[in-house]
Amino acid sequence: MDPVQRIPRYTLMFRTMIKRMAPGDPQRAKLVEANDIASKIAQAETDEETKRASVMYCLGATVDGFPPGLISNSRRFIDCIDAQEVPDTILSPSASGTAPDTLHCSFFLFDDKLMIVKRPGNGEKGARALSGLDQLEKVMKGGLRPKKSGMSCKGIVDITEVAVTDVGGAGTTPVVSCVDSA
Amino acid sequence: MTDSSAIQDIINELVSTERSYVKRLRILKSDYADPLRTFARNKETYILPAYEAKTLFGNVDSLLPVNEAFLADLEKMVAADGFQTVGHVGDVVLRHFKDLRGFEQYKQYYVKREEAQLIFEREMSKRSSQFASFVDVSVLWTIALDQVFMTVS
Repeated sequence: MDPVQRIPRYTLMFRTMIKRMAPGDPQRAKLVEANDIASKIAQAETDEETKRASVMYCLGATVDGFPPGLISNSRRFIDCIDAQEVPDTILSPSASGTAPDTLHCSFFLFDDKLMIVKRPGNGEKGARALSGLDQLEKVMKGGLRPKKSGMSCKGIVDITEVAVTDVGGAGTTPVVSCVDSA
Repeated sequence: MTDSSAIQDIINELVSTERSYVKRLRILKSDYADPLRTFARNKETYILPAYEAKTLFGNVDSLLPVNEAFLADLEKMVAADGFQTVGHVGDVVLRHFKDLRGFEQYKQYYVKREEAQLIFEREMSKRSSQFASFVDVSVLWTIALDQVFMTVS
């Protein structure tokens, strides 16, 4: 039933035919070409697995204190976003006008967890660049080794514990709050 | 020299497995994907939430026409004088894999597959799950047997 098995089955049949054909048979060359295309399509499935493993490899190498327990082949990385942590006071209108110290952080969203990391400096570089996720293809091919970036893990929360609040008003950004279980 | 009788055996295998594969894809779409996605649109009728219903079946709607077109040409090929209309096996296979690029749709299917599998397992394991009752046990049994045969053949 699973369509995933159909393409490898084609390549098996194509290869068997190729083996039984005379080298000069014009049909043989066509099957060889079709088999190459089919193999590449089947390879796309393996690429997905490699990609998942590479994301975890990048995060483990670039985020200080990244919990090894977070690495699992059933956990899927969805996306990351850069944010600023603001003191509670800024949320109340009376505090507007003051310049609070902001903490540059980023959220890494997985299908079951949310990881909060602190970014180095004044947040000049985004988490995607710091972690090497912006060059994942290169990492997958072994052309780039992700290294320490100055990011550090500040906590992991279950996504069911995360609340996103829209504080209202035009142009305001949603506020993410959560119970830190780390 | 080309071993014509061996080639003919594999062509027969390709055509017969393609027939049953297309049949199963149609059942997957008409008996499972379509009803579950339609039910999901309405709170009163849903068996699976809309996102789960959509993800579970990936782009099966895009796969079906690809394999239907491939099967149609394979059938023409094995019919009398078929070689004159669609050519030989290499011609037919290369047309569908290269010129029509239909099988590229499978890449998209792979991307969502793992998530689909997790949804399937989660929904099936829920006690008193409507989804589990919806999935006909006999159909699952057929799939399981089918996979066994695929592995040994």
